[in-house]
Amino acid sequence: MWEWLSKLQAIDRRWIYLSIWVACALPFVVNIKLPVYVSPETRRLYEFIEKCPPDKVVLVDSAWDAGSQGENWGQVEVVFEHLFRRRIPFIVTSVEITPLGAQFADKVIEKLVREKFPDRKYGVDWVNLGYTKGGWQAIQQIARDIRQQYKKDSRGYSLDDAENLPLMQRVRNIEDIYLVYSVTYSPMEDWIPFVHGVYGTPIAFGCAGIQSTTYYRYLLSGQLVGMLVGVRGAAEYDALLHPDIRERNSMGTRLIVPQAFGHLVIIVAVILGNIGYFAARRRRG
Amino acid sequence: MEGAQTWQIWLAAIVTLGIYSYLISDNKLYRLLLNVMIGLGVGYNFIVMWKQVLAPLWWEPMVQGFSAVFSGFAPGSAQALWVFVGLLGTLWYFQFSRKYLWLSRIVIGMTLGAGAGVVFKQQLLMNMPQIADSFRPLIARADGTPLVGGSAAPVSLWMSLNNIIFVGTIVCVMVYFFFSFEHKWAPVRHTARMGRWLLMISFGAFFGNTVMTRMAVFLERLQFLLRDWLHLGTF
Repeated sequence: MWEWLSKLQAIDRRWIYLSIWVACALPFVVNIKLPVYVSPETRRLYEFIEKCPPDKVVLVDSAWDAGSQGENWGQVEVVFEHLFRRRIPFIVTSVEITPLGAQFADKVIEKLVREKFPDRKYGVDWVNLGYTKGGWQAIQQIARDIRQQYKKDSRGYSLDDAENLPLMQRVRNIEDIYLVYSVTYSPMEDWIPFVHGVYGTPIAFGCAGIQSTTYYRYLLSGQLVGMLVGVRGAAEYDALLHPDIRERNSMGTRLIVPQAFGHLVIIVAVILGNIGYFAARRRRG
Repeated sequence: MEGAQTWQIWLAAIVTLGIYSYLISDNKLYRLLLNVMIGLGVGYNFIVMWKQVLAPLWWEPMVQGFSAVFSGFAPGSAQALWVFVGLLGTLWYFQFSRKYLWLSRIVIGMTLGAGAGVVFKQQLLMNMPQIADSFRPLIARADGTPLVGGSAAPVSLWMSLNNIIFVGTIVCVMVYFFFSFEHKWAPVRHTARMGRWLLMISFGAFFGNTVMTRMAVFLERLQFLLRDWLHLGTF
């Protein structure tokens, strides 16, 4: 028996890939719903946006692309929906990380406007400033005077064009910003020292699960007001937006159940591998 | 891929499957697609960099500055000075020349100097709140304030336990990283061992989150293949 069990640590990896494919595909084909429990870091961001005064604007640094859209799409989708719902205007930037960031943010916004908020107008409810480079210099420049870093928006309108961009006429610098929400695989920590540290502007992150472990310390110290972690964060935020589970249809909600199934397969694989390992040790005596 | 045409969806599906074919074994299709993706990325990056960064922030002000200079030093002539920034930037490329390598060191030195200054500010502003936050009362009230000199909130067992674990973890891990003396004394040895265990737990959390992220990347593609390409699925 030990010999047979010891083979468990040498299962061909392609069988494991296949098992994960099947387990993850199942919830896409068969409608399965699982409850979502909201973590404190997600709730804090939701409640912070709920308290946004009417004259303030949210700055969303949406610096992600296809490589991390499984997690980041859902994270911006739910926050954009919340901002649209509360009619809080927002400015989208994409600092440093990927030149595709602004385009992907546009895709999410277009979907929301088409499906849920057809009366929201570009230039009034949101503005996309596009990509910029410069890391910490760009962040400091945006904080001091946004027009020094961006001359035009992503559609080519001048930031001083009051007809097409009325929103930008009341935004000069970080004093006009209520919250900076940075969403990418690994958000730039420079937002914390150069914006929160200098001006006190609240910062929130939406990040890949793998990166979250390094950011939790900023939540404890109050340097971040909230954080959405991976698909889980997006699904939790969607649950806060839509208490009725039938109304949820964001990317986070769609992926959270297949993810649970996939994790289950991995846990089983880890257990089987360990059984195989101990059986092999036992067999060797 | 909302709004995408059929041929675009098919192309995306073929590329996705071609990339995943690496799971079976390394193959020519995978390497071809990889090179195409790198080429597209570099080309796109260059265009966006020029159109959205270099042109509006450097080229256009510089050209306007020279126009002003040639119009008899009209207002805005100072913007012509941007040309020197461009010249400084080109010094980087002398790294490719053995003879003129020293020129690139000028701009490297400037970058290092600016970077060092900024890192000092950055680390101070980023880590001082962290250090301040690590001083926590071991007997805490519900709002986190200490028993002595705190607010009128009742003492919270949960908050106190949380703080004890937090401070205990910091102490244990720091003791583990004392390498300048041997861990012979039993209290130090046990504390360091506990620190190592706590580090292992944090590495486990890292690894768990890694799996979560990789899974999310895969699920997004799986959703595309099932829903957008094969029209299967409940969403």
